Amino acid sequence: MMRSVFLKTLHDQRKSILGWGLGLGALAYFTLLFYPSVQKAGEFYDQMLQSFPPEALAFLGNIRSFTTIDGYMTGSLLSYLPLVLAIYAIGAAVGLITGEVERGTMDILLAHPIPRWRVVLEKYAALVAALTAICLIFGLSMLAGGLTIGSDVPPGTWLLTGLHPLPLTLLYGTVAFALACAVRGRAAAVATATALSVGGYILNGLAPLSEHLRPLEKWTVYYWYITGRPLGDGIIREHVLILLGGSLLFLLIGLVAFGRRDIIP
Amino acid sequence: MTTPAIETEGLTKYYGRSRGIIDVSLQVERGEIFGFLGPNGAGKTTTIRLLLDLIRPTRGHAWVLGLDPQRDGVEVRRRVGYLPGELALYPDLTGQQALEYAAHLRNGVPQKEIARLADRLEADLNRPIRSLSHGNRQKIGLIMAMMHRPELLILDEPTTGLDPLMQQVLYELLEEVRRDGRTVFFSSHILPEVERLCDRVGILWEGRLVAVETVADLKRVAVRRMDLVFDGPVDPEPFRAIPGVREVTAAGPTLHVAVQGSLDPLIKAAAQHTLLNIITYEPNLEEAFLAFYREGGAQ
Repeated sequence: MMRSVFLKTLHDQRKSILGWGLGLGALAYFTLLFYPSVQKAGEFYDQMLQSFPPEALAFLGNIRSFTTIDGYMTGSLLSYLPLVLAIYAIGAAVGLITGEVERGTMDILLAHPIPRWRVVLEKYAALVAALTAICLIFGLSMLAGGLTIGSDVPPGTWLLTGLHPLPLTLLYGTVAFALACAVRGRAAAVATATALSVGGYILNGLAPLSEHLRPLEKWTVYYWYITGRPLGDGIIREHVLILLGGSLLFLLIGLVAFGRRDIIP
Repeated sequence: MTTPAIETEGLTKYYGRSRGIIDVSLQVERGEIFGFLGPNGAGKTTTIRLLLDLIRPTRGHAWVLGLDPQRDGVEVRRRVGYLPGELALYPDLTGQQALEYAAHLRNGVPQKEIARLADRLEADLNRPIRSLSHGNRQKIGLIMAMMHRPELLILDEPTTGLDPLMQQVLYELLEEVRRDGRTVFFSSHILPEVERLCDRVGILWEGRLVAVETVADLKRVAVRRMDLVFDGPVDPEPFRAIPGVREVTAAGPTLHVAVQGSLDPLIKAAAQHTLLNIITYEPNLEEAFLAFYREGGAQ
């Protein structure tokens, strides 16, 4: 496992990948187990849903019904899942760069004949691989839950549902990563990426309720995630591409910034 | 004509408004052991980090093996071995794993050389680094710096944490590097260590390179302090007249003496009394530096 910066980084993340993957997977699995009983009492839940104020509904992904699998899973888990996963993504992203610089191990790494851009790219690739692995475990757990309750959702759709939060979470992680590449210390990177994720989620919920806030909706980033519904109308490819493009942009910023900065433990 | 191992020209680094180094112009020849002396905070580590391209100069230039560390950083680091002053290794790896990782980053290093160095330094490669003492970690760092037989070794305070026996082994290893025609640049704040090993020394003071001298010159001006313990009180006056003696104070049967240059006249004078003991103190860098100034030897 010590053959490259990529493999070493991934090796270091193995416990986190398993922990987060299995944790979120268990949450998804048990959430699905409750679906049949929610579906049975469908009318009751949908009436309750209709009594919710629009502000609250916005935070549940603006679902219309709890009785469809899409409405149920979005309302109870998928709407806020990227926020939870962002805790891992932001923490890992900052740790990969700032952690190594602060501990002083970056000194040893950069004393070897490896260009800085390659260190950044390999570490970023490890972050992408780790997040993908967590999302895959999450998707597989939903597949297992779907099979347990006898759902007719095809396996590929469950996996796609698991992977769907990846582009948004990756963007949160990449913003943190880019700032960790550019600036000393953790505060700026963690604060900015957290503000983007939590602030974006709240703003996205509030934006439809006010004429003033509405134009901001598409700038919350979260919008480009929640508008896609793998379990419902399907994902929106352009929205996924916008999120991935955002990550690419911040990765480039990180690459340039890390190439120029002083490495000071 | 071969280029110098290290050359700097007006190398300057400020961290914001605080001083790192100022106008350091230095030349280290191939095949020499060059000591970089200075008290803590003088800017030794800053200079070394500039050579490795870990930090970027505010102004001035550096060349390592004739290459620009900023432009040709990968090539520089391929041919240089580096031990940081505050060595940090991945704590959960064993020494062996850490060295394997480093070897992969160098596209392979002969296992035989790793084994040879580990044997010489008596390094334990099988225990997790977190469980090793500071000195034992330092050994892993030294193997990492030396295992690819670099043309130039840059070591930041390499003997820190090593016991005296291992310090000797390191000195021998560095002398072997010099015999191979390779170069060693190491920083230290310990004068005897530098005297023992180096061909030339540079003295860094508050960010400025104040002197580059041969070790012979350094020894000539270095001030040594010692206590001469006699069997009874001794008149200090005759000692004050001895050439090179800078200071004599008497306390009972003990004379505290500061002497510059050869010790021979002092020892001969002391031998005229019944001398019970000689206690010597580590030469003081500050005094050596001031001595340079007094002699007008500083640049």
